[in-house]
Amino acid sequence: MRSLVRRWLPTILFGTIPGLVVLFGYLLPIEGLSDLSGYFIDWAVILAGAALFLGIVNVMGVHGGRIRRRQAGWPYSLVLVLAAAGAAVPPLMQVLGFFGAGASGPEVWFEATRIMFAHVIVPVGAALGGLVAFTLALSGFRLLRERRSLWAVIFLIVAVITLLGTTPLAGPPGDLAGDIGMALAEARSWVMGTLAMPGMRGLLLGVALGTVVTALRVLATIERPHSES
Amino acid sequence: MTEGGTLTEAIGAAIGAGLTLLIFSYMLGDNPLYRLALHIFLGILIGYSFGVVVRDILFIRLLEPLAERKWEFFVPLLLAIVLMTKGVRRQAYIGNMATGLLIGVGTAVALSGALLGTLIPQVAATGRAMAVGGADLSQLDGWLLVGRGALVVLGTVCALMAFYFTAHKQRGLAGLWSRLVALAGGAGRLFLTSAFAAAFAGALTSALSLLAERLYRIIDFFARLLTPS
Amino acid sequence: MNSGTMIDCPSCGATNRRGSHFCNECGQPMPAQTSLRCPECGAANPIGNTYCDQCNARLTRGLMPSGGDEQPESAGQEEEAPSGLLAQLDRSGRQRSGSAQAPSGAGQSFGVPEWLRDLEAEAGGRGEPGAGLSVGQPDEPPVAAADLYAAKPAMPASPSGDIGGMADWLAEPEPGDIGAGIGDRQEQFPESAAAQPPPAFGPSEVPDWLLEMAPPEIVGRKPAAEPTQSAAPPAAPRPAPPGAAEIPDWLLDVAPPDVAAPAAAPAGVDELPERRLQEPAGAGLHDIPDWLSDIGADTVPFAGEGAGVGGPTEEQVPEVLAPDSFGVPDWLSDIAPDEVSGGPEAAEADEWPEQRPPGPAAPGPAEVPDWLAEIAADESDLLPELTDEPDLSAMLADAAAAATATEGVGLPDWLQDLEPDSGAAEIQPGEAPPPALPTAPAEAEGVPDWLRAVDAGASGAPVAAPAGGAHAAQVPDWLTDLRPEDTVEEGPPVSAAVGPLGPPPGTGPVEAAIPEWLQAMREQQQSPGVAPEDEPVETTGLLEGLRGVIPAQSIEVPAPLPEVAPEVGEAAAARAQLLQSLLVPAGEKAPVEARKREVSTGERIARWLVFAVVVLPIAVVVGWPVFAGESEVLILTEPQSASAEDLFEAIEGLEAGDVALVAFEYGPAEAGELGVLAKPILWHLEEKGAVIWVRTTRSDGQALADALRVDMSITEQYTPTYGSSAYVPGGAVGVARALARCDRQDPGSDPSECPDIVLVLAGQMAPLQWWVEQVQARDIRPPVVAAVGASVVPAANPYLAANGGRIAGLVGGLAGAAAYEAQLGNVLSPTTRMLNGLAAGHLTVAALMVVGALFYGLTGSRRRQGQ
Repeated sequence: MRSLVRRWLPTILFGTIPGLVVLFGYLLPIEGLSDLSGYFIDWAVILAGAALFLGIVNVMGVHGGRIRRRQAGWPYSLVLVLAAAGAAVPPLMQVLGFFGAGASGPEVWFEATRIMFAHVIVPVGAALGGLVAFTLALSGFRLLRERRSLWAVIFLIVAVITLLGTTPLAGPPGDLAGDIGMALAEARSWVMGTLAMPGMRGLLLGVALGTVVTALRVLATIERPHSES
Repeated sequence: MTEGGTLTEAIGAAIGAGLTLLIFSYMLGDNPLYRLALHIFLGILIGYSFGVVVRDILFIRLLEPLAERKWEFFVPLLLAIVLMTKGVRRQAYIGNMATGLLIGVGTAVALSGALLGTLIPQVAATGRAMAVGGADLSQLDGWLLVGRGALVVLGTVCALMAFYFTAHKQRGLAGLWSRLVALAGGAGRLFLTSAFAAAFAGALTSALSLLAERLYRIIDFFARLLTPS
Repeated sequence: MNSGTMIDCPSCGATNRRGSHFCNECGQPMPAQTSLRCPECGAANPIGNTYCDQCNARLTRGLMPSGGDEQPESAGQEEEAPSGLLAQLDRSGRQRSGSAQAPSGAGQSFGVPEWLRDLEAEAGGRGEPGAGLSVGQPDEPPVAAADLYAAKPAMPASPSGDIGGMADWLAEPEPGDIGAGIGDRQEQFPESAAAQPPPAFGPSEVPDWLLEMAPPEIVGRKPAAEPTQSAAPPAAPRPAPPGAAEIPDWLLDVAPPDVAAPAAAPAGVDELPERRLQEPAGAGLHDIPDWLSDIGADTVPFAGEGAGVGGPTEEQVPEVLAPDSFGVPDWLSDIAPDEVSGGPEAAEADEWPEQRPPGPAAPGPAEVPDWLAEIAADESDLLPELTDEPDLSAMLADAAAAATATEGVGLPDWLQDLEPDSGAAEIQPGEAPPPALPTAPAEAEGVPDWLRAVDAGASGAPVAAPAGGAHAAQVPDWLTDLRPEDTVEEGPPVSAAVGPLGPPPGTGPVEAAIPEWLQAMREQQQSPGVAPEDEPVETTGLLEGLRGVIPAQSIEVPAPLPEVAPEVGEAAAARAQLLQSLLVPAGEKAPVEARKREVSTGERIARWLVFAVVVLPIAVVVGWPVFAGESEVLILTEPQSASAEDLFEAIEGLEAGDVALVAFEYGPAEAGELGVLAKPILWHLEEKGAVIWVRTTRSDGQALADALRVDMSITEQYTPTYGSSAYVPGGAVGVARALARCDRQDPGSDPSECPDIVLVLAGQMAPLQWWVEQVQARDIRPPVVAAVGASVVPAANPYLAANGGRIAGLVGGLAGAAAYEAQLGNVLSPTTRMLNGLAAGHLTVAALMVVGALFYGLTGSRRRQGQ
């Protein structure tokens, strides 16, 4: 019984059958099949949200435990928990708006959310992204230190051409800087379209092939990632 | 915008600038201020996500339909409750049903997308790269066009073959084929290197863009602050 | 293979259920103990395991099956005594002969079987004891075939019935009798000895015809264990234990010792047909295995090759081995006593031609004893009763006398197992106890001297009763002489595996002896605290049955190394941390804190240098208007408006009221770039009067969209977000949900629910791919346009380049934003300043990379030259 619940029920009844219904829903123009496929997709969307909910609860539990046990870094965990509690209020209050404050909810909660994101989330996120520039620049500087080979040189040349060709130097016609800039722009266009694009397409095809094979294996219950504990 | 709004915006901008500088302080090394800003950022994101999940998933996608007597939504409700057992180690196997549905449907969607959205169109596009029927072969441009098309096809094929490095060395005709495969793999490596270099340059560009945007905001803020208007 | 619930029969290899007492296929007893307990962790392992499945510790000998397989091992012996027939034979023979060359671990011998005694008695004064056998003496004449047949051993009762009075020893040859030659061989070729296969050829596996025949007067063995001989090329690993239908190699190499007069051979030959008639009922006269008949027809070992090692030539005994006649094969007749012709050259028909030891030649065909001629090749034990018994005693005695110590040479296990006194000890798990070899009666008339000598020797030596109990055989002297000197060992040998009955107390096979030169190469270090006799016995592989070959040292699991923080560059750690925080979806995982590490001065300088090189130019260019005035914008680059033409045209084609589904698929980390990029596009949509639907698979996408909307002061064109729920989690599944009603193939679809254009604002490739693929998978395919970050552009190019409108238009990064603004006619905007700042950053970073490449490329080569 336990094996039935552990393995075969999730595999066949809840995994393979809905998956095949959705797959054939893409391929076959059958009305009932499309409806059923739509239901399964709806349920999967809901479950995805539930999974995110479970993950957030788990994160809160981890940080809460760290605070409770006064482990290393617990003040930062306290800051995180307090910030999370504060940020959860606006959308939850909007829920209350469903029951009395109208469909769009109180404006104050909308404004609070906007301020949070416009003045905290976006600046910090962008700053974090900007920090990446330093590390990437440093890694570019040390490129040949890490690996001295022909491929590294090719990598360097293509990267430099792409960088300079993205924002080519501007200048009047006949100006050396302008000519160099346009030449670099043309070179970038050629590199991106003739060298990089086929390579990227090969990668995409490889990934797609792997996705198809893995998906078929999962639908055929050869692999059961959901029931392997 | 009202003065309150202006004040709010001013305070918000100050907070954003300050947090940006705290993040940039990481260049000096890991320090408590940087960690403080980081944990505030994460806390807000986690808390807001929690609120959105409760609002958009639980209330809008589950309770609202049930309130409208769409009883079929009891199934995802039950599955979502079952999914919560994943948080309990001993009863985690019960949640396999919910994860089975998630994985089954997700697999089918990914399979159809990879097959219909990437594999077939990209292969067709690779073939069409050689479709240069309108090329004027009497001109150099025509030949360049044909050559470019051939290079695109060759690059795509070689990039795929670059993933097969285990061409065994054999003799005779089989050895010739294996050497050909190795040669194609080497050529494919050129295209892959170019693709990765272009991706590196793109990531660097994106990071520099973020840096530029942040620097612009900071400078603009201080400029407004220092320039009485 | 032994598994947790199944176990293989040691006899026939058939798979049986664990716990079975008898094999389902061959009926042999299965070992009582079906698992080995690990001394380290106590886990139960299949018997065949050498190392524990759980902890990989060596399964020590003390945990061997408790079927009484504990065999005391002679001290000083490092290797496992092959628990085979040969060892038993060897030991027994040596002990009887009093030779110091008895292999270690030997100490047991078995009595001379009845038939052997009978033969000895018959032979009478045929010669010196053992003179009939000249083992290992190439110059001696081969054993006369007649001697082989002269004695008429009393045939033991066989399961198939009476075999016509054949000598007992023929029915159940003593292991020692047969194994002497093997021991000699192994002395000369220790490599072959070491490479002996597992003692799978236990007594029960000895073909009946072999058991019933005279103890092979092994010829072709040199008396002394000469090191030069040991340097012979190593033998190829013995093939699989010969089945009953195969002639053991050792038997092919065996040269018969000196036997009695060859005159008896012809008679023996002549009598073959008669003997055949005397076969018991049911015995097929034509039940000669092909191998035996073929041997006679085509190749006769030892025949016609120079002196011929131990056998009559083909001309001598051609009819014996004719396919349609039942005769003694030449190789068998060759081993008849007194006709050992010796000679180093032997027929090349055997498997080890290069290792063929010179030895006495086989007796002539006329000397093939009757008993030998009557040997039934059939495994069913249907041998005719020989009327004339060869002088086996003499044969054995000669062999024992002639055989020299086979130092360091172990006997094949199957041969050792034939030693009746330790027969049970040598039995492989599941095997039946070896049939005891009959003892020739000492008073048997016509027993050759060699056989008589065997009897004499055997009688004087301590003999352990075989498991069968009824019969006892003695190892001929010649056979005992073949034992290696340093392998004499008292006490029972050690058996790798025993049957359910276990070995008789105090008995056991003789340990194989390793020559000194080989011992010198052995690893001297033994397992600490483990006595040699406690060394584990190899149970599988080529070393099966040997002890101490590999020190019984448990595979120590190395102590976990102290945790050492990996040397991670600070920049790399910071990058990793930042990337993780950016890439991990918010609310799912807290970022990993970067490890603290001492930063060197050079590292600090490099970091500050990069900071300065990257930040300062951007800050100067971006902030120039602040210092120089609003209109003074440093122009380093110009927007490439052509790159945004397709997207511009796609939106330009919309009409008022058209639905534009805008997917906000970027997070806070990309908001700085994508926000700048999305603004002109959204503004364009607003200008066209399109209705904007906001959809996002990110939990923070809705908030970003609202923030952008407010930033752009667009309030009317956005649909209410809370009611329609822009958030669709699940990645590709969410996208499929967002487009669920937008499929012409779906009869229930509502075209009004399908957007007229899909604008994807993606900071990463995956969301863009979801949208493109799901739109493509639908029959209704609105054009997809994308505004992505600069990092996504290379990955999105294949979709853009694919004809058919996979992506109708694509702009990327600040350059794309500036290009789109240029399309809209907005030139000097904040985007322009940021774009020029980006251009400055590009220049400096590119220069930094080139400088670094030159620096490290040159200094690296200089370092290489200096090294």
